[in-house]
Amino acid sequence: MTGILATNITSPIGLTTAANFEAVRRGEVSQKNLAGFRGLPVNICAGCFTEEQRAALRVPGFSWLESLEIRSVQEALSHCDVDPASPRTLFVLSTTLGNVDELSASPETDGDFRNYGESARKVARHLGIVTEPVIVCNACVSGVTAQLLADRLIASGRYDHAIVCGADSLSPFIVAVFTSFQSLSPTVCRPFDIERLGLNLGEAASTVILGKSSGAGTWRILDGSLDNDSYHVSAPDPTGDGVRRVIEKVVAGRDVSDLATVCVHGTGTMFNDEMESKAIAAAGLSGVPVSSYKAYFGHTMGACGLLETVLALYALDQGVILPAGGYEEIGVSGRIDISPAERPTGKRTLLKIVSGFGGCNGAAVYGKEIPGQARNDGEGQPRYDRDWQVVRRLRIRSGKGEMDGKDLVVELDGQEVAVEGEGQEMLTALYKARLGDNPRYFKMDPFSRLTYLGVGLLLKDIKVEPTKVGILLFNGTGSILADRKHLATFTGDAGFYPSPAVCINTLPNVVVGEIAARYRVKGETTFLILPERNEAMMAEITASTMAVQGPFTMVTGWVDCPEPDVFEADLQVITTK
Amino acid sequence: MEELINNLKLQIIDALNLEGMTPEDIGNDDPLFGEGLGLDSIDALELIVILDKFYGIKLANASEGKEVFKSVATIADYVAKHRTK
Repeated sequence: MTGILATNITSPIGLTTAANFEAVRRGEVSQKNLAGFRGLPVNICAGCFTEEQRAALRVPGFSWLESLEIRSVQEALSHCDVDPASPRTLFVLSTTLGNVDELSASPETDGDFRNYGESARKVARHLGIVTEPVIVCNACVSGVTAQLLADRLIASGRYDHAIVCGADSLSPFIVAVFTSFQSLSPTVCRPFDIERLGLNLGEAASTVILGKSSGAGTWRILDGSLDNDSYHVSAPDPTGDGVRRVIEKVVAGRDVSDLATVCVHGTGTMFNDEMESKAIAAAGLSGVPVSSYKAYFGHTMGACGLLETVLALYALDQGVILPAGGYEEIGVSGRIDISPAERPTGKRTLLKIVSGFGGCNGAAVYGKEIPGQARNDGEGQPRYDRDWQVVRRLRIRSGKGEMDGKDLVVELDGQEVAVEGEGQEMLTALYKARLGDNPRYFKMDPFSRLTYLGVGLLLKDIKVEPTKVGILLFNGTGSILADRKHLATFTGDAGFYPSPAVCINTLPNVVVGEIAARYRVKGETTFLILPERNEAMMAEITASTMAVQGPFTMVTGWVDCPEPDVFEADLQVITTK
Repeated sequence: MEELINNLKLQIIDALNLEGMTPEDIGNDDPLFGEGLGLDSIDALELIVILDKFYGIKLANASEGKEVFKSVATIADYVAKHRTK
């Protein structure tokens, strides 16, 4: 069973886990009122570091985001004797937007921009890590997805340790995204409160070092579950059904009265908090005290799934449940146990839940070791047998150079598909001929169109119980085309008119949510970025994902679109034998 | 008013990427959400951007827009009364 060997939180109110705990206890908050944030015509309230803090933390030669990642990982490593340079140490980075603050609307003016994979690799090498990094880019669920991914790969026997870091920074880019969604609170957010007005953005990094070797008294990841609510790309299923299912899966067989706290996502938006309260109540956890932290840090995106888990576990070690920040009067319909006051606890089990754009939800349960109940992982042996088969396969390739004498290839189940046109035109023609089922297709960026078409072609005839179908995609360049298009709506002479339809596709996993909603996919949906296509690593992750699902069907593979007419999708449907 | 309605239709078709549609395809009183054009919550936010960008109208939130965004005719009516550019 995987244990948490060391942790860090690097936030505006503290540079260690302990310092953050103390700061929260003193009532400190990361949020500040920022009038005209970096030249934008908006006034926001957001968690951010001061100029002095930024200068002190900046690592020469690295972006601000990379500096946060490095500081957080180094501080965590100082608390344990894990060797980052071991070939059996994995690096997982959880980030929703990566270095987007360095990106510009055109490749000519990018300066030092490093995309997800290049950036993660540079950070890894600086830290002495020799293995290839995996980047989890699964919107707000990323921090929990990253921990579960690492847990599975350690359990598989491939790695002994994993350094799991979550980080996102505050940028005009993300401020423009959330301004266009009209989901920002003008004051410090008030999750679950009757007067809540929305969320605050925040910036932070948080790290957990995971490993098998750990003594008694170490927090363990006891179980985890991910799913999709199959409802809408940006709005959560108002019934909370997706969250309820992941909670029920991880608390099954446990006495819920042992749960010290449920550490919630609690963003402070009307929709999230209402949905989450319903899920908690429906799962029978109305009596479990809630830990709600967004009022102290803002929504730290790729970091929050780690940061909030780390803080809640530390608080349990101190025997307390921290006050629910910003909360005074209940403003949600699901019955939950939430308090503005600190409460004592002697219990030692934590439930973390998260939800994010793209319809994804996650839950993980942590506990202190209970003798005699440890999982038998085997020693150094892969725990997972390859017990699935490939049932469908799709290949779309354009502008990547000739293969078998052709530059454009569309192959379904080994048969060449006749297509019209080239590049994006060809994709749209194929969409109209074969799918034609979703007007939103035309609102998508080139990468999302490719992904929707590719996965849709494979899923449309598959008839399986929705909770037994999932999606696991690997990619190299994220949503770079949508990112540049978004930047063009508020930089230069463009004024400030960020488009919600463009913004939504700056999270590359959002198209997976679109697919999940259209094709009723309610199982685990995960979007990962690798520095380059790496079949061995993709196979390891695919195996470890299939192994924890039970009978399962999954669309998996590589899908990448660095330029509108340069793209590749190499996807397959696999199913348990 | 006719010109305003036609411009609105063009702006909506362009901003919402309504593939293959022309202003003639959208009736002035057709419902935009639900049945009708089948727009959703993200499209509603996009309509708010159109009002701001082309007509200088700032709608505070999508729920305020609910009445305004019933049809192209209701939008045109609102724009005619509140436009600042």
